[in-house]
Amino acid sequence: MNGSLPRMAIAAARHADICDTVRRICERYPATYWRACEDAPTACRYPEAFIAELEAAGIMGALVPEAYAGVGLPLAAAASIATTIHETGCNAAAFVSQCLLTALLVRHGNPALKTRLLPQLAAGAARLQTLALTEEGVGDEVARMTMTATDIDGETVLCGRKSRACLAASTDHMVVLARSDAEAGTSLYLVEGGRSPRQEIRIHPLKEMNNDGAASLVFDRYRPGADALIGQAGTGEAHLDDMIAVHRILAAACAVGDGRFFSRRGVAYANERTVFGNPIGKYQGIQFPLAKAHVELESASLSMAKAATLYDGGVEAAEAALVARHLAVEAAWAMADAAFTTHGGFAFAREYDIERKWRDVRAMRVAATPFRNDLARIGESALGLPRSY
Amino acid sequence: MSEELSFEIGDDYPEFRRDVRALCETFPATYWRNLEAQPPSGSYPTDFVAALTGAGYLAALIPEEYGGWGLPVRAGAVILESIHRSGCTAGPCHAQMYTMGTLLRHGSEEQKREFLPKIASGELRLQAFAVTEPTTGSDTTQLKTRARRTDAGYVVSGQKVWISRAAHSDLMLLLARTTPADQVKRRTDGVSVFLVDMREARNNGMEIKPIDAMINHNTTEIFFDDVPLPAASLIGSEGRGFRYILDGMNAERCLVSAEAIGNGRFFIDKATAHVRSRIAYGRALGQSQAVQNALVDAHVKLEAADLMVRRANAMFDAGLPCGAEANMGKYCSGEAVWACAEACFMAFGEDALNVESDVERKWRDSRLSRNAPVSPNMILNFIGQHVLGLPRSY
Repeated sequence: MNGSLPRMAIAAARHADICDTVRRICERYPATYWRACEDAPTACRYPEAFIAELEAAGIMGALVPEAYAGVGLPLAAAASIATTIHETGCNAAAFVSQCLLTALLVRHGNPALKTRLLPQLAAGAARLQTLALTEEGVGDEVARMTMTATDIDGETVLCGRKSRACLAASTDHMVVLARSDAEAGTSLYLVEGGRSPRQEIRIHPLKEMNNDGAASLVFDRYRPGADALIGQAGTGEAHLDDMIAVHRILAAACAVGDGRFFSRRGVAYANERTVFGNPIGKYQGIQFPLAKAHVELESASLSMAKAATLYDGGVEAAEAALVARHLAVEAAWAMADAAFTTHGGFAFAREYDIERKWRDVRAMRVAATPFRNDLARIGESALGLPRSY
Repeated sequence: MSEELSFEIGDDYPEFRRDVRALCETFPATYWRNLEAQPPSGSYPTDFVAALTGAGYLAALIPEEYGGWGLPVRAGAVILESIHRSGCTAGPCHAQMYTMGTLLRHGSEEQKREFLPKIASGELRLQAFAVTEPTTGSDTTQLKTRARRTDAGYVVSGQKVWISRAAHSDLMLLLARTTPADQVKRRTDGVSVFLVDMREARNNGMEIKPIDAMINHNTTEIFFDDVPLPAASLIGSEGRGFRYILDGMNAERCLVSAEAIGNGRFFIDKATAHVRSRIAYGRALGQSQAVQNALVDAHVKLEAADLMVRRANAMFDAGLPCGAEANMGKYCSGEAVWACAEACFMAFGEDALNVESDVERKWRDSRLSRNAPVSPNMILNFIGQHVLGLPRSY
């Protein structure tokens, strides 16, 4: 055996304690809670009570290093938390977003900003949950983005629009990508969020299929302050791209959780529902799609664990993370659709909670930012094919 | 199959395609989005249904002697396809076209004279068709709703689920068991069809509860607590209802398949327009093969499904047995529209999630084509057993 190769566990059982805590919290937020969030007026759809409990339990600060009063969990632990949340039928979007942006801040933030913000995140006293990146008609194509960060009398001033920023109205801070005028490049800024409204940032909630808190933003001469620049000016895109492994591993973790949710629900219903004298799970038309999705989900789960292990071991993990996310999201979708078909017409009834999660998984399949389609990146970087877009 | 039987391959009934589209343009996407945002009591497209009825479309299949146009099922299919291609939905009213057929083919002359002209004129809505129950699903012959004979007629007790439009219909076809299953020779015997006057029944023990669902299909659960029905509400002979329903089901499959084709065209129209104009990384999105090939693949499936549906329509209209063809048309159109919906969703990316794109609403609607009115697994079971001669697998 070559002792120098990285090793991974055959099951992600190492974070059992914290996952138990998370699971106990999740059990207090059943499907009725999440449906009520969806049905609430636009301004009240954020899962406030659920997130408050995660904050109080220190979960939201999972990736804050011990040096900043955090618990400094490895990424694999954060992934297990995300999986647990989704597995129970809850939603980890705010948690995952906060983990990604925390990791960005830890890696690229300046000392003043880190000292100011990270202890607050660890204490659950502030929220950093929004990445404002995409623009109308441009998506995540950075070269065509028009949001600007202009230097006026030594102060940075942000002007422009972002088309779809999730949780913007519920967060205290967000990270915004803007074009700096000095260089041709882009820079990342920490910006005050929408929980305390301000005139220079207008937030327009979007009506969407899912309760993802998406909003379009208009920045009208907003001054983010002296320590708000994250990383180097002009290299914002590279800094974000540098976080690709974290983003994709956490997305994969959510998808694996969704897959397990649908597996549990689909299998339970297939065993319980009797038509033509048998539980419908006895029929191969029902059983095999569930079994096939299970195999896909198992491989996705291992891929996700591999990518997290590499990342936590300080090894380049971007490629493994892209593979993991693709497998996990597709497996979750296969399981979601198999469970949907298993439930027949009842899948359409909101009461069964199949349709809500099914919509969520579908949304996950189109939301690959940042940056670009997983397959395009895998084709180019892993297979050495020419750039296809 | 008759060798002379043929069907048109282009835009048949062009006047319907043109006029229906013109009517539908007065009910734009905002109309449908707004309905979805309403509570169940306000989510029925009353104005749209009134406009279709007023123009005569919903009575297209009713014979002229009863006030309709006396057209074949294919004409109804083109009307429904055109409605769906335009972005509107005929779900709230399409049942009239096929439930009417059960009354027409099996009702007494008296029943037809009383009801068909009023249905044709729009004075009465016959939009509800109560077959499925919570515990029996696709196993129709096991239904538990009972209609017991009384001196005055029948008394109904039991429960139905997934009864669309029941709260917005004046009349409903009801399938109920009149002879207990253990007293009949064949499982299909002993069930009967009733034409229920909803206004009367609601005052006499029938309760309708809306189901909160992913799509705006105005669907409900219905509870019958000893609801009296007059003897005259029985259609045809007592105990033969299963057969009456079956031949209506082929018409339903032909018509609903055409809606799926229309939705598929909607998605292809919408997606191709989007990917021609949306620029990404220096070129139109549609120049990316991942996007283009998915749309082409969906289009090819849709073209094939359209032919399958037209063949089933032609055979139904010629009075030929068409169970296999209607089922295959239903299966192909359901899979094809879903391929179109998915390709469109992918082409729009995150914009598909936005309610104002209309992609997500039509995409949710189209998932129903893979569930209703018959499960794709049941179609495969049918084809396997009755067309390929394989052993029954369920």
